[in-house]
Formats: sequence, C-alpha cells, structure tokens
Amino acid sequence: MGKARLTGKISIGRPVTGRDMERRQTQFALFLIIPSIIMIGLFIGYPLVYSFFLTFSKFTIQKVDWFAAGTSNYSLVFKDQTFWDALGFTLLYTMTYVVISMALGLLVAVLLQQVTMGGSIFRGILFLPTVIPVTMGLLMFQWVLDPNNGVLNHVLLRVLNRPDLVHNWLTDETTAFGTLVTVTLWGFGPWILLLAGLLAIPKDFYEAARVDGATRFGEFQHITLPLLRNTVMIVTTLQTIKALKLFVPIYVLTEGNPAGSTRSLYYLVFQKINNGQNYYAYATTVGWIFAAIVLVISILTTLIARQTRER
Amino acid sequence: MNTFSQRLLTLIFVASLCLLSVTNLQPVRADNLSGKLVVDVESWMIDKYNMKELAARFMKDHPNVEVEVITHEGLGASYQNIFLEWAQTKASTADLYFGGLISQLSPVIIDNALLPWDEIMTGDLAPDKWIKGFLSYSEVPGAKDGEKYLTLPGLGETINFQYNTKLFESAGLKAPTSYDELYTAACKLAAMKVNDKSLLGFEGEYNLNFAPDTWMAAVTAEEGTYLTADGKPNWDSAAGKRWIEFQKKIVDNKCGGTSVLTDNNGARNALKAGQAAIINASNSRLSEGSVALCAEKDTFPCKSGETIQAFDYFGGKGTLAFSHQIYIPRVAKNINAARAFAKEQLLSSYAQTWSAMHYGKMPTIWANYDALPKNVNFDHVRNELKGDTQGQWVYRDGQLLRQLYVDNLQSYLSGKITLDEMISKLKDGTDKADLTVPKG
Repeated sequence: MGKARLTGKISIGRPVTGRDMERRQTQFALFLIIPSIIMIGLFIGYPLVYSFFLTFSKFTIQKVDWFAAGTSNYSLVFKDQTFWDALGFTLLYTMTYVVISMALGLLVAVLLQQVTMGGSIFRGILFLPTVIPVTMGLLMFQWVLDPNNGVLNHVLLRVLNRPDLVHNWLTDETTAFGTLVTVTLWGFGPWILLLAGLLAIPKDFYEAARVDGATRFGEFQHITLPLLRNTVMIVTTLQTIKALKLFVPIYVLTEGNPAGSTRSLYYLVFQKINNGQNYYAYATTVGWIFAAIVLVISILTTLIARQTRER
Repeated sequence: MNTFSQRLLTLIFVASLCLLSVTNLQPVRADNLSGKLVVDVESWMIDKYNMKELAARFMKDHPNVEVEVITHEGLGASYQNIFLEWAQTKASTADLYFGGLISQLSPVIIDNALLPWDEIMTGDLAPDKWIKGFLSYSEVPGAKDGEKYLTLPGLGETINFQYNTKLFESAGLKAPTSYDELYTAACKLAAMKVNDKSLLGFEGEYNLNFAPDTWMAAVTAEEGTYLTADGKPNWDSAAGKRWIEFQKKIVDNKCGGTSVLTDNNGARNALKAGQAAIINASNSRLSEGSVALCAEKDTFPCKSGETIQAFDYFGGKGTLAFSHQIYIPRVAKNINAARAFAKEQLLSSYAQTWSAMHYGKMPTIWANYDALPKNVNFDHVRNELKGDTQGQWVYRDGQLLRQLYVDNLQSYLSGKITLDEMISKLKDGTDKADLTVPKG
C-alpha cells in the first residue's frame, strides 16, 4: 500500500505555549468578574468618589456647589471639640475592647481546646450570643442594667447586700464606658476564629514537647502562641475595625449619653445628619476623616502582621 | 313549542334578568378618587392613631382607592431621607404624610416644598373651628391668602407635669404650686417605698424628646414667651435658669431618676409602672398613665378616677403647645385622594377622639374635642388651650439647637460645666446656627 498523498492546504497554527494558556485564563477570569466590578463601581466606588468630592463642596438638599467650600469643611470639623471628644472616645474604646476581647477570646479558645468531655455542650452555650440578634441582646442588657428594676442592681442590693455597688450603669459617667465595653464583650470575643486557629496546630508538636518534659505553660508559650501568631494578627485587625465602627450598642443603650461621653465617630455622623441639611457637609467630612483613620490603622496592623509572618 | 310560548318564555327570561340586575344595583357614588394612595406616618401612629382602621374606612367609602400605610421613624435622620427624596428625585414615595413637628419640617416649609391646605379649610375646617394653640403653630407668618397653611395639625399636645395622685395622697401631699413645693414633694416621695421598691420622686426629661420643650414650657409659664425681641431663645431668662438649676438640685440630691439620659421613654414607663411619682412631658402621659394604672381595665374614663393628673408649670402666663402635622409634598402623585383622606379620616371625630381616649393625643378641632367624654385631664388641657399658648421654635437649625441644649444640660447636670458656662455655650451655638424661620 502506498503512502497517502496529502492534497489541499493545511493550515497549522503556531504551537500553544504556557504563556498563551495563562493569558487566556486571565482573560476568562476577568470576563467572569466584570459584573462584580461593575456592581462595586456603581454602588461603592461611585458613592465613595462622590462623597469625597462633597467634602470640598457646599451642598444642601436642593443643590451642590462643587468644590466651593475648599478645605473649610475640614477646618470646621477639626475646630469642633465634639469631634475630638468623639475621636478620643472611639480610640479609647477600640484599644480597650481589642485588648480585652483578644485576651478573653484566647482564654476561652484555649480552655475549649483542652476540654475533652462535654466540649460540644460548652461550645453550644458559648455560641449563643452569636446567634442572638445584636439588637435583641442589647435590649436585654438595657433591662438587666436598668437602675431601678434591673436584675444586676437587684442582685447587688437584695442578694449580695451591697448597696454601695448599685449604680446607674449607663447613665453615670463613671460607669457608662466600662458598662458599654462589658456589654459589647458578652460574646466572649473572637473565640471561634481563635479556636479554629488552635485546632489547626498539629497535635504532634504538643506530644513531642511533652516527651521533652515541657509544662503546660511552656507548651502555650513556645508552641501555641508562635503558631497562632498569624491568626491572632488577622483577628486583631478584624476586631480593631469592628471596634472603630461602634454604632449599634450606642444607638440602643446610651444614644451617646450621658453628656456625649459615649459618642463614637460613627454616632457623631448620625447625629449630625439628624441636625439637618446645614450639617450634611460636616457629617460627610467626619465620615471621610474616620475612613482615613481606619485605613491607616488597617495598613499598620497589616504591616505588623506581615513582618511577624516573615519572622 | 309554538311561537307564542317561545316569545312568552323569552319575555319572562329577559324580565327576570332585568329584575335581578335592579335588585343588585348599588347607589352610584359621585367619586372621582381612584388609584393608589400611600400614606406615610411615624411608626408609633400605626397603633396610637389607629391607622389601619382609618385606611379600611376610607377604602370602604372609596372603593376605587387602594390605601397603603407605610411608616418612618420619628427621628431627624428619617426626615432627611424623605426631604432628600423629594428634592433629588422630584418624586415622593408617599402622597400624604402624618407626623413631624414644625421644628422638624421647617426646612421644607421654608423651601416651599409642601402644598397649601387653605382651599379645604372651609365649613367644619374653617380656621375658627380649630384649636388656636395648635393651628397657630402651623400658620406661616406673613403668608398670603391661600398659602397660610402648608401643614395642618393632626394631633396636639401640651407640656405639663404629670403626677400620681394616689402616691401623693399616701404621702399627704398636694399638687405643688412652686419649685420649692415640687422639690419637697419629690424628695419626700423618693424616700418612700411601695411594695418594697423605692419610688422615683421626680423623673425629669434630660434627653432629646422633651428636655428643650420643658425649658420652653418653664420660661413661657413664667415670662409669657421663651423668645427674645429678635426671635432667639432667651437663654439669659431668669425663669430658664431657675428651671435648669431646679433639675440639677433634683439630680444631685437623688430626689429623682435619670433613666431618660439613655432611654427617651424612661420617665413615661416609670410613670405607667407606678414607680415615678412625678414626670414632666407631653399631656398624653396623663391618659397613658391613667389607663395603665386603672383597676378597671378597658374603661374610659377610669371608673375609680384618673390616677395620673396634671399640674402646670409655675407662673400661669402661658403653656407650650405643639402638634404633629399633616402635609402633602408638591411632588406627590395622588393629591386629591391625599386631601380627601386627611379631611375624612385623619381629622375626623372618630380618629381624633379615639386617639385621645386611648393614648391622650388631643384633637386639634374644637368640635372633636367637645365630643370627648368628661374627664379631669381633658378639662385640664382644655383650660390650657383656652389660655395663652406658644409653639416650639421653628428655626431651620431647630434640631441642632435641641441637641445643643441636651448636650449642655447633661454636661451641667453631671457637673462638667457650670450654669454660666452652659448658658454661654448655648448662646454661642445659637449665634452660629441658622435661625431662618418659615414666613410668607
């Protein structure tokens, strides 16, 4: 049998390289995320840019004089003592909340890790604050902390016979801050995420350490903490952002009172909107200053986390 | 069947059909109202003004109209959303709004965003038929005929003290007639226990809801007005300072509670629970408290008498009266139906007397007031309204001034600033505020 003779032209493309495949995959991926980019651009990007330009403008309900205000909105905010008081409260609350919530979360996570019997029961109980709607939980605390009829004062007065400890927990300036921090910690901090991080640590390390004679504290110090570092840094960043955005507990429990002592920056923005259109510019500017602060803090924590990982 | 029979049967059939049609006919209404009517009210009005019932009644009378009742919160932020919608979209979600004080609505009144009501104010709704203390609050000063009323008062209230008569009786006290008597009563009651629970002598208003109004009421009662000659709040008024100092004395000596600092309804709830002996807020607390504490439930008036009764601010020179407004934005769609709903339902005797009896929200038309059952508290408010009254301030920055007063009052009560510092800050803040008022 003879060889087949090819007739006609055959067009042979150049061979497909790895780079081509990569480019095609990238193009396809971009194509898939175009709808998301459009949505983000429309509903986040556009309002962000629009509101940023507003901070340099004079505007009311009816019209906007673009860039007519220059930097005067920012000067107005920086000259207002209310802004600095709200900023001070927000930062103080954030530092206090993050430190205590991380410590508490870590303690609970470590304890849950150690529990061998009934662990799921304890986890279920500790998980309850997470499933209860935030506002409902806060309203519950409003009743517990009621100075006249609340459970807390009733226990202190009638059960423990300590009338000296009875307080107007949310309306007394000396106790309002601490009470707010305590109420926002009723979920025991970010123990869920920390527990996940703990459970990811291989048990072999602990067994090896025990063989070498390490104590429990030594295991915690030389195994748990170092291997949990990345998780801790990420969770700390999340907790920081959460604390900076404090609004709902203030809205439900204190309304920024007494005398503005529990007013956060977010709540200040809300109050200024309430004051009417003459204060839209002020509120928008505070919002942007706040966003800048959050961005700086987020960048700092991310840099620290990266350095920690590299170490 | 022969032809005659066929024709007879046909005739009987047609006659039967005609008879059936005639018996099913309903009177034809001359009703040019149709379409959807959206009514937006403050959320508390759903219950306290029986809005669902009013909507059902209107739809029964106007079968071609579908009424939808929606709500908004009574906070400033909600009103900003509504005003923004009107201005930016040139449209309105609702055709008719009910709720909002002139002080909250002054920006849109000043900006001429509302339709006037003057043309329907004839007959039973003629200006002289209204309670002057409420209608005057809605009137735009200096406006030309046809545009005097851009809002109408739907329900009204006065500011006075509300006290528990039974607690007073058990303490051997009478309704106070001066600050000294009020202080003595508050402290005596605060030292008492009822059912092993401490009483709250005087639970004052120190928050956004009523704190500024109590200042306005105290000054109006003693000096006839809380405004200076150039229309600013008279922060230097001796009566105002007396009132502020009185509140500090109450707080410092623990003759009253401060739950209102974090709960706008703290005082009202304590009164209804029988725990607060005296509060000072809007007169609706008289009905609410009496209904809550009446031994005979579901009766009005309470057969054993109204447990909660009123006494006025000291001085007798005037009462602070305010009302929640009814208004239609110029950009509303179904304006005819909106006007009809306001006239036939919101301002009806049924609606206004129902709200007064159940929740103490007073009628704004005398005929509806006169339709109320005899009641000591209604009589008290009637006397207030027959005398001199003044409304709340209506500046464009009215809400800001309210917040300014509350912030500084709380700082003073907590000892952070002195009274002189408080007055100075109030004057300073007022000078920087936009005091534009609605005018023709």
